[in-house]
Amino acid sequence: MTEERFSGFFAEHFDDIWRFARRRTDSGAEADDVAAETFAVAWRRRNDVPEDSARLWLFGVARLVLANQRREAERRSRLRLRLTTTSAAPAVIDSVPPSEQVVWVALAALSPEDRELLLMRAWDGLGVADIATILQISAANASSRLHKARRRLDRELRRQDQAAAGQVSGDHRQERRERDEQR
Amino acid sequence: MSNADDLDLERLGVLDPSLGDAPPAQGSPRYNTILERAMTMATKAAPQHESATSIRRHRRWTRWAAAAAGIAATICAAALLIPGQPGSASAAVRTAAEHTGTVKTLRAAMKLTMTSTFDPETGKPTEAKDVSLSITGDFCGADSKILIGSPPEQVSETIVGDQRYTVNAPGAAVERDTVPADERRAPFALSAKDVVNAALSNASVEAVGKEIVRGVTTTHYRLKLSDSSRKSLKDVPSAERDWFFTDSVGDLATVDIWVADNLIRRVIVELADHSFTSDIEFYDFDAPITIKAPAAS
Repeated sequence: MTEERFSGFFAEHFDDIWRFARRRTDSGAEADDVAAETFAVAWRRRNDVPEDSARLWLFGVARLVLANQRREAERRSRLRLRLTTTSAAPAVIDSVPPSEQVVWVALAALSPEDRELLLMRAWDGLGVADIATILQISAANASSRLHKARRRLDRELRRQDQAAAGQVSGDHRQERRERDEQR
Repeated sequence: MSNADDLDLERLGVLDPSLGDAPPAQGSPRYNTILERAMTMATKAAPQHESATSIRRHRRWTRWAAAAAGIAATICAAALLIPGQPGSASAAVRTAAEHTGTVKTLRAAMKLTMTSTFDPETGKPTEAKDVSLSITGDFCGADSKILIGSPPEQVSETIVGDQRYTVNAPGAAVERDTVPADERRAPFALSAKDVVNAALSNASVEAVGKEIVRGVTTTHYRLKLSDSSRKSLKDVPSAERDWFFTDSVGDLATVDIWVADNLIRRVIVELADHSFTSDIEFYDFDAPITIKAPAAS
């Protein structure tokens, strides 16, 4: 692959790879780094890139690049995705809109494997076959794991929704008590 | 798929961080910078994006150590497949590799030299320069303890089961975390066995001469890997492949191996582009080595 052809290859896939990276990093600058490193691998292995599934191949490379960063990323307290990898951190939760908080907390309660599957589906819009290709597992296995992950997400969301409703109910009771006391 | 499932995914969808942050436009300076970086960045030894902190620098060293150990293991495995008659140089290396593969515990001293094309403090691209690092390691099955660099900047990383204990400087607090599933490595012997099964036998080996390694008289062999063996090595499962640093294996041309008493004593690997060299000596085979979690300071 010549430099000119690689530039075309880069242009064709850059947006997808950058977004894939951005969804898993804290800033556009970090997504720039991941995209650069992903395409650096592609450039170095340009003769190995499969023509018929280059996009998924790049996703797979980006996933490995991100995995290499994970230990560093876990140390970045301001990283939004930290919510999904550690117990809930109130300071970070507070910066998230209330409507999203329960979803983040539910996501945080899942295993990393479940989160990865669900976010590939929900954020990257990947189908079961594509997810299976990236994870290098069978489509049947991917389908089964995705199904179970969705079950667990649904269960966790219900739990978080109920907890949030209880909190609202509790807040209302507190407000009523305060009004009664003022009278 | 139920409506509830779809609604759940919709609720996840609105969290997508890229919804409010578009990629750089084609032709923009930022876009061009990323393209230029991709085509000039060296990716063999370590990610280029790491920050200035010493912790992160040390993390990279840790990966070098794993890479070096992996390269050595790959060489042992590849050597097992070298064609040759009994008594030949290839058979001698094969026998040594087989015996080394059955070792339960050992120690290793590594000296790594790489050509760095980025500033380790800033993570930014810079002029190429050689950087070297010394590492010692104790290995027992899948558990390990490695010391990276020398005091006062010495870092230790201990792996016991799925737990990782990191001490970023002598006397510093012990940081503990669970090794992510995709970073866990299989036991060395099992990995070597599977790599052997994956590799091809189109390599060749020649005896160079007699040399002393750590007081032991050894025979120095030079191994030439084939394209097919390098390709097969890349297909090993990730838990085992992580030992083998397959990206760099793809760039290996020749490796040097020193053998004595049917054991691999020393390995020197240099990438074809001379950007990475590892010199690893193995010793204390089957010594009573136990890997324990470091005591909290």
